[in-house]
Amino acid sequence: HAAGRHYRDSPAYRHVLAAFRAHRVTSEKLCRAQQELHFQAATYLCLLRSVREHEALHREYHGKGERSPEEVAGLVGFRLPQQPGGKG
Amino acid sequence: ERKRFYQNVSISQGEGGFEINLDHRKLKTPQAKLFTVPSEALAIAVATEWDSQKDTIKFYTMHLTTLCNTALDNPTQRNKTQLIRAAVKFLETDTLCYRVEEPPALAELQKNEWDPVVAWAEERYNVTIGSSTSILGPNIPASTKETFISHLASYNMWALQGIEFVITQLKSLILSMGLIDRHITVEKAVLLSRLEEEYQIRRWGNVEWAHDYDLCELRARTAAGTLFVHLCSESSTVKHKLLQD
Repeated sequence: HAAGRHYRDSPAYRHVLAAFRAHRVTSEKLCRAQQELHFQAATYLCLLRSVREHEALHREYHGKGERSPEEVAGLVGFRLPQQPGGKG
Repeated sequence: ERKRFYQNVSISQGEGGFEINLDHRKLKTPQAKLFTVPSEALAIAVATEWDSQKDTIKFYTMHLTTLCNTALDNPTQRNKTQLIRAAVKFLETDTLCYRVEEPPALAELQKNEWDPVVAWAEERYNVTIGSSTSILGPNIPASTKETFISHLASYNMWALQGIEFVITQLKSLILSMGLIDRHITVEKAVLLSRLEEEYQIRRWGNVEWAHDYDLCELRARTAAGTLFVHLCSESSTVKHKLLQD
């Protein structure tokens, strides 16, 4: 399970790190491959961050609201027939 | 929602490309084809999506997996020509080309934020695009469409699926090309795509559960699509600049 391991052990992290190291040894000042790699890393970061934020918002606003019929009735001051005080 | 039914996620290389293993099972597409991807980096990213699932599998967060499934299954059954035509057709209704006249503040914002990107595309591709306040939109010359058609033809089928996906998300071919060409970031592209929404939010206030939700979802999808295109169109060998050690 991903949660039990350190992120540094993940294949994704190792891959990105290796790619950056491979591109570090270059004598060219404007290395196009370096720029491309940087853009890729930034894009991946955006993906990871946005998915996390989206999921958090989903849990916060779309996951809740699972109210029981009793709760819903109670919200507007009613009782269901089977509850004490409820009308049959 | 499905429970996470696997402990370990790994990738392996098969005949058709890189495969995803969920414990001893090989991942399949919705149409039960073997899930294979042409790029190792893409396989690692997909594996990471699967390994990030906790108790339940949240498919709506697994954008790279979804894109790969679309490329493998091609559910809309479109060939390369049809995909390219669909992509370029978006230019006729490109967000960046449709301008308002009212309110003046928004018209000004569109001019300041969108004109430079349109200008960049016109220069980069040596085409005329323009913009319009007419309900019919801009009049895109046939030569402009031809240029984009021929440019997109240089991408393989997988990358094209990704490009068309990004275009439909952003509602703009120009913004998508800006991303593919690494001229703008995902955050910027999404902001520009949602310029009118952002303007309204600044005027009337933010509604987190709606606005931020849409913003994050669009960013996630756009980022996934962009990454997908780049990973499917690059060569996998790393070219070392110095001599071998």
